[in-house]
Amino acid sequence: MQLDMRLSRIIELAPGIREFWLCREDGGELPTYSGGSHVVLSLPLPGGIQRNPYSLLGDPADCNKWRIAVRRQEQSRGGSVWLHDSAQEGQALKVSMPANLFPMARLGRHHVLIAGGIGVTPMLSHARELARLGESFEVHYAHRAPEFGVLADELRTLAGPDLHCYVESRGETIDFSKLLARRPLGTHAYLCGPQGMVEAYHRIASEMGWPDTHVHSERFLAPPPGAPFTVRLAKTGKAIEVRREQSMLEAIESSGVQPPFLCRGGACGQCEMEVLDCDSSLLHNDLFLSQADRDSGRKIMPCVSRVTGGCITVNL
Amino acid sequence: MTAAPSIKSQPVYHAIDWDQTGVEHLLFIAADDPATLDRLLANRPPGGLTLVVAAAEAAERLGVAGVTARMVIEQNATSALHALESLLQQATMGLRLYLVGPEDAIWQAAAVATRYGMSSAEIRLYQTGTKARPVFCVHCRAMTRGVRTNLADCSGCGRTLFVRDHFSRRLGAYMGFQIDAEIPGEKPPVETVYP
Amino acid sequence: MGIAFRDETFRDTFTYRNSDEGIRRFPFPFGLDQYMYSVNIEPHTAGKPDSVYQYAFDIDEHYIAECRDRAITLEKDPGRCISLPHMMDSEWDVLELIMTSLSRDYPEHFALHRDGEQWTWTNRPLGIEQAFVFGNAQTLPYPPFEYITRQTQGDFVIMDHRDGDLWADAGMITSQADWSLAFDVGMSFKEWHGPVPRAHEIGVFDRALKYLLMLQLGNPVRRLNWTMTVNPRLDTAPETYPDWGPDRTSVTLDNVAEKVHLRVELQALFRLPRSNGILFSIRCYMASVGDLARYPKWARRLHRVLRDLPQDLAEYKGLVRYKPAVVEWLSRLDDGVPVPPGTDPE
Repeated sequence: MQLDMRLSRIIELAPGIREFWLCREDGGELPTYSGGSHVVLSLPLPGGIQRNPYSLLGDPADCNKWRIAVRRQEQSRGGSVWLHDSAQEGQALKVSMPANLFPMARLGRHHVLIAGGIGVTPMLSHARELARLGESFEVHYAHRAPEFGVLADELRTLAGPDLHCYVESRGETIDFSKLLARRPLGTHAYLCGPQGMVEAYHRIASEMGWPDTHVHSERFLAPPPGAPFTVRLAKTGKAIEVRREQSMLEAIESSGVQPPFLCRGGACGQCEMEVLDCDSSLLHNDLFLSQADRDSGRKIMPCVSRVTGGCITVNL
Repeated sequence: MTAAPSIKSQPVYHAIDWDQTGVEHLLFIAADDPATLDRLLANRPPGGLTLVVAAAEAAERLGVAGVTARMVIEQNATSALHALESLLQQATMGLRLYLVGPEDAIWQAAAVATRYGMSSAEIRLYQTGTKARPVFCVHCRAMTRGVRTNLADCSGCGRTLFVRDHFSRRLGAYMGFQIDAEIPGEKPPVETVYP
Repeated sequence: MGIAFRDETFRDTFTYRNSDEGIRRFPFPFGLDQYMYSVNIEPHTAGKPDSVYQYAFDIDEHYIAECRDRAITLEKDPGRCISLPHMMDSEWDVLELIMTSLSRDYPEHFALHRDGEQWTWTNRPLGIEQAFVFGNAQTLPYPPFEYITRQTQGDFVIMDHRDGDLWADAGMITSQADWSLAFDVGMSFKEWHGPVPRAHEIGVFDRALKYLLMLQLGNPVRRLNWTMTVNPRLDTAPETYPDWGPDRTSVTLDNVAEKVHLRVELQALFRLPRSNGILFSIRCYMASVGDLARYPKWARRLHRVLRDLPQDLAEYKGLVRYKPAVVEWLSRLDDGVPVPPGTDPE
């Protein structure tokens, strides 16, 4: 289900970071959502539609607008660059319903929210929920330089003195082994940030005896570009060219077929496809498939994964 | 090996061992099981170890054996649960909890741990000692403890209950329902099935 | 034109009856001559007009009587409605979903006026007008989930989504097919379905759980389930088994057509927005074997399904004592001609 929406406001938060407000084209009310939810924007790039997920950072009770923030990423496939360089207020966009792959643990007794850079966006919606529910929580926010501490003021109104900022240009960093030490039973930690930060966090939490059930993170993988190839849909015989910067899922969608999806970041498993034949090698980039699944050569997550060339046939 | 239960809510217990991913360990002993306990204590995990012992024989034996862990000895299950609770109040992330004993005691202890936000990933349970079941009467909601037979009189309403294999972790009990509701008096013979 | 609500009972005098229209729209669950478990889930999108699938929450001629019966059950046993403490956000989710659905789909019977957090709910069949503050449970006579489900047909479970599982952490259960909320509340998806035979072994619950964890906001799904009940009794809970268990011995060839009812549950699942939980609605429809058999297609098919039902399923559904009488009675209406696939009455 897709909503017809419009970019109603664009705010420059910092160099290379923009906030966007989305409202419905028909002026109608938006559904509410839970902290940690994201939506998928269909961006009308010159080469075709690109679908990117973004966390909702606003107030879920605000049924007039949704808010997202986007960092310009030169090295990526062009979606963020388009949002920074080409998108104008009034631009029409198709947007998915919210989905939540990063929910709050409602049985937690204390919550530690950790943001790295633009990873602050889901933490805002979590902080808002925890504040509304009167739960015990704290926020740790690391950013490159003072001017990149976007939305920190908004976080401070929610977390008060329990907001802690770490400015890398001043040599301040989050020390996970201190941050996670001596936490009472029932503490849950949540992190959204760059890949290296996510990996360090999981490794240190694990070394300190935290069980996976209490260590949450969100990472949206962008589909990496690669050599062009052909995907063949077995049920219709349709053959579709996947361009260098396009994901396999986007190419299938552009042919008029609409497979189900949720995260478009290799995490949720919704768009999993069965591989019937492949004359090159599978390049798995997802976080979902088990090693056994990968070894079987029978499954692929087309939102982020591709093949080295030639032709792949999927059971679709 | 135990056969897979016919009702999937019934817990299945595997031989217990230390969870090497924990950094603190708390072993709650509600029944003596020399083979299991001696094996565990002969091969202690890295990190701190605390024992809460509610079984008199185990306490005596472990004391004689000179086990050096921090040991809290309680005279009965109720006071042992209180001792467990006060330890969990002070405990921090990284703790693993091991519950050894009859189902009634270990699931009451698990309920305490759940209140402190522990997940099943942090708790290991092992049934030993009596197989007697706590039974929740679905008619009057009274709990009847120590049931060793297929049929039991409810401690609340007095009905003759059939003890099902359906188990609630939240209640720490099996479900009991009136066996002769359809035809009064029509009951199978009473047998001891949970020794 | 509104619905003509019937004045009827589901206990003691058992005056419950279906109108001709009620039988025609009955969600007959057997599309084939044999029944077996499957993950028979489909999108819960608007179905044909005047079918039970037309709206998210079906309201029919039994509405007032069912709400009255629920109130009687709750008066005797308040423990039929339970909500664990972390479920308050999902309670409001359910109240919002049901109030907005009913007022949109049945404007002649229900109305909702919203002004920010100030809401006014009008339920004309039950004569209720309630102003309250959305999000403030003190402004309602019951907690939000109990408040709205006392005014809705069908049972409800709210499942909390955590640790890659769904937990039955709240429920309003007064018309269930022999399972106890007081016992099952707080269970994981597979524990809760633990007593169901066969389905675990063929992976039904693994697949269903995987599917439901992906359930999306705005895309509800549904399936049908069934059992049988002697007398049109909504409250066949384990709690009151001593009251209704003896009914199972009362079936004879002479009374089977009126006494034995096929009981079909239209189960729908909705992702909830605030809580990220899932609402599981279980809407119960009952029709006597005699009424269903007025359609020759249904008579033949019901006969074949029951005749060939595996014994463990018959035991689980509690049919063993009276199934022979039902099968014998229906066999007289089954001439053996092939019945085309599908559940429609004609």
